[in-house]
Amino acid sequence: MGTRTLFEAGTHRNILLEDFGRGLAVQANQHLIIDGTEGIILDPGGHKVYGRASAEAFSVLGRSRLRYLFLSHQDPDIVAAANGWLMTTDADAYISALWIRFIPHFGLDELVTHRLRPIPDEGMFLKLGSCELMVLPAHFLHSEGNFQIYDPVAKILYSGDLGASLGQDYEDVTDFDAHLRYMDAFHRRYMVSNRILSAWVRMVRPLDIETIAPQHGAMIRGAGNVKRFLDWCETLECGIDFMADKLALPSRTS
Amino acid sequence: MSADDILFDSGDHRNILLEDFASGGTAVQANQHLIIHHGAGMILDPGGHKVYNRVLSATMDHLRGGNLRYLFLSHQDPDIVAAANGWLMTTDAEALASQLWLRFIPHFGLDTLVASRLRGIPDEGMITKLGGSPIVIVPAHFLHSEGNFQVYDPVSKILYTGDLGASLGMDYREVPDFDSHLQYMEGFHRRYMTSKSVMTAWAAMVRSLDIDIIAPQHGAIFKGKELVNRFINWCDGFECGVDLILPKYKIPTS
Repeated sequence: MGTRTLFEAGTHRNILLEDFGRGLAVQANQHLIIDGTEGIILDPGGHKVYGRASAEAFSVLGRSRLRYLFLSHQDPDIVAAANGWLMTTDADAYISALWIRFIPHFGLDELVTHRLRPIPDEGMFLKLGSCELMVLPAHFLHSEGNFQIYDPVAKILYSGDLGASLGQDYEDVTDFDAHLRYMDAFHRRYMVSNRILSAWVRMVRPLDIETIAPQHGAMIRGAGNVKRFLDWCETLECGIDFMADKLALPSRTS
Repeated sequence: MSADDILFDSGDHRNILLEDFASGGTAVQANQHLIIHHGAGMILDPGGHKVYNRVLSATMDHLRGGNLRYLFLSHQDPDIVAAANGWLMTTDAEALASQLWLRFIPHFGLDTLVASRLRGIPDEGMITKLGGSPIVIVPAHFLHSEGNFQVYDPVSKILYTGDLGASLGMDYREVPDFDSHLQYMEGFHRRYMTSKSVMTAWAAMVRSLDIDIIAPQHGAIFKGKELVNRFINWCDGFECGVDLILPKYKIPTS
């Protein structure tokens, strides 16, 4: 069927939903974490996948209830269908405090606006069943108000846009060097600066990570590949490292 | 009686700040600007679902039988792009947005019919023509979005700055006094704008433009050369974003 189990131990399960997105919109992964009777969906995506993603999510959840919707940042591919998820469940949606007043522009129903909850800049913990998920600050990677989720049970770091890759046809990175071509350009342009990337690496190195699961493209699995990815991030120049001295008035007419 | 503000009117060329249709709710206040030259119109950052009907109707009134030629989307945030599909379905306009966001915007559910009218702006910006009059699309990446543009209209000498210069919480539409206005914009700029290096590069770039009005997407406009220069000077060397965020890069403790 359309799901893949990344981790399962007792009542704790980490599920990757099938990629429902096709066509013009960028491919996106939808992840679900269940512990006991409670579930969380990460970055559930836009209108086009809402129907199928929610049907699949409820089928995976079974008798567990959706407790949280986690929105890593404010981009359209993340938040466009938030209202639908909030209207059809009693989940709380968590997003950076920076975006709380921007999301209602989608037309959140009055009924559900109080279930949109701010994450402070420092991050927080979310209790799910009998475990606690860590909500890690990852601001400016790429969004100004951006968070990632670390699941200490499954040892999965859900990294949002960081580690995203586009264009390859595999789900797991097997050869890190060969994979670079699918992530390099995106990271150089969208990620904000090397100072931020290296601060992020310093923060996550102490975590025990077996899988890095980005929101787009393939997962980076195994301690060797995870270390290769962190090393790559640590020295990558990007964003304002290139751009800051290049703002200039255009001369080209089109 | 209309509460629209006419910022410039030379008969053939008009710049209109539309009435604020959405103040008071949970969504952040947003300005909708219209530029019309010889019956050709450009709407800037037309906003979300909640204001769509009224902004569309006001736009058509001002066009007086002319055509909406462009929808300008400064960046990818919800308050900017949520209703893009509606605008494209009801007009023949082309939507202009940073090439960085072309594959993200379809997550809102753009109809296939109109997806071909979503056009990418290259990182360098460009000069386009509105009813024969040049409109300069100025690069302003990382202020705040990674792919972000501003619009300079050389006829009215208005620089439309998007989120840069945005203010929240005051009850006037024109800045009366720069120093007392700072309290409404400083906190936002310190957190959402990306870095001193980018702010300084922007200030250097726009100093060569002849600007009478700076018109942001949220809050009050800066009218007159003195206020415009005060604002540019304030941006020059302004510490923000990644200059200040590193202390937040820690594993959360609570």
